[in-house]
Amino acid sequence: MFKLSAQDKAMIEEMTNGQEFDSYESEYEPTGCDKGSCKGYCEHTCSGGCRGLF
Amino acid sequence: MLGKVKTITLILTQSCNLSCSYCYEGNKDGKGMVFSLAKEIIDKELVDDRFEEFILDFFGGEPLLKFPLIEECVKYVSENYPDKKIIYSMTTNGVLAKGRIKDWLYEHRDNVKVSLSMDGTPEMHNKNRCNSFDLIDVEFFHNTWPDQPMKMTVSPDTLPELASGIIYMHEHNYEFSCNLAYDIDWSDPTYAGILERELKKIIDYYLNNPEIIPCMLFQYNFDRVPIKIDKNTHIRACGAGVEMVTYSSDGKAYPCQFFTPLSLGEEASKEAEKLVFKDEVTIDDFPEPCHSCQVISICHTCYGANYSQTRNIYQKDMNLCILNKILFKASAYLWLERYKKGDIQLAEHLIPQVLKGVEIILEME
Repeated sequence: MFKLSAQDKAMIEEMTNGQEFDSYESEYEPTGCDKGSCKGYCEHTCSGGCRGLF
Repeated sequence: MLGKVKTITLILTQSCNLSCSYCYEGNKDGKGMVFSLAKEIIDKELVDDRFEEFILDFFGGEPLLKFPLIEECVKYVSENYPDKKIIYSMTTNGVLAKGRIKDWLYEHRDNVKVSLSMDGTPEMHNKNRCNSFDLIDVEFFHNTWPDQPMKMTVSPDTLPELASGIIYMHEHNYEFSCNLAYDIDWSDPTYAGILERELKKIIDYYLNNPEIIPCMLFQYNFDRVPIKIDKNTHIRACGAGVEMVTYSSDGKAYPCQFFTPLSLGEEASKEAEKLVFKDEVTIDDFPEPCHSCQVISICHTCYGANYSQTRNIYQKDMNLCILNKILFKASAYLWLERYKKGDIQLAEHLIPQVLKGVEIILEME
């Protein structure tokens, strides 16, 4: 159901243009959390701990 | 490397006033903690100078069943450790937040952060949580801790209404985190189709309402996906047993609440004492199929739920894996559609790496 169209693929290829990516920890932080005991890994789904307290 | 925050969870009571359908604490025995023991634990933990901050988490069962103990602990810590950075937290079913308890919670709202378990629409909530919706003053929690996410857990019973539940939470302006329940049976093959159908409805809702930030269920670090992971890459993982510790009502320490006899039962909990929890987790810790999975870097895990189901903290539930992959694809699809509409606010230099991650996810098996 959730597919990539040929047009989307072409657009991404053009945008990325053979770039190599090596930054595991970039500035992109969609969960807005890297401080808790799990360092944001839980995506706030953990049943215990901080649960997105920060 | 250790983080700056340590979470200390106290299981104040091994009783609950509800019996929710997905609860993983299957061995409630009614035992409770006494103040002298709580004080002993607090005194031992708060002198750990490796950490700059502490979260003292009041857990249960239902923690508010032991409200006088919560009061005593907060009073003791504030009087005896005035210079320590401490946040108190708890997750409650909300039923007991009335009268004096409610007044105290409001008075202490800046230091005591309370997260309400709230499972979507009233009908969904009642299905999961013993018809308790009308017993809860939801607006009290929303107004007192507007930034503290409510916890919306999805069970097989409420999966067919997932879209209605998420839209309901947004329409009431509730902050919430949402996840599929851990440690329950997700093996029915029809769940995948139901989840896809519901996610499609939610995606349509988000695309028609671009001002609404998609909930946590749709938020992943897609930028990590294109990175080649080798044995030296430190994969983010749960802090259980390292930066988290849970004390059962009798004062015994466990890696997190999932490993207590309350959850695992006496025998499995004792067996788990042999486990080693590492601060640095790498790809070599994960067995197949996770070891070679393209999305291992964004796939969240719960050591406790893994251990409960597979007796290996790194071995995930493969039924949940099927559903998680659908979630990743739906989230990547939503990100791409929002990007094409111009609804994504992100620094230009970060976009190619995220786009590459989105492409990999949408093309994976």
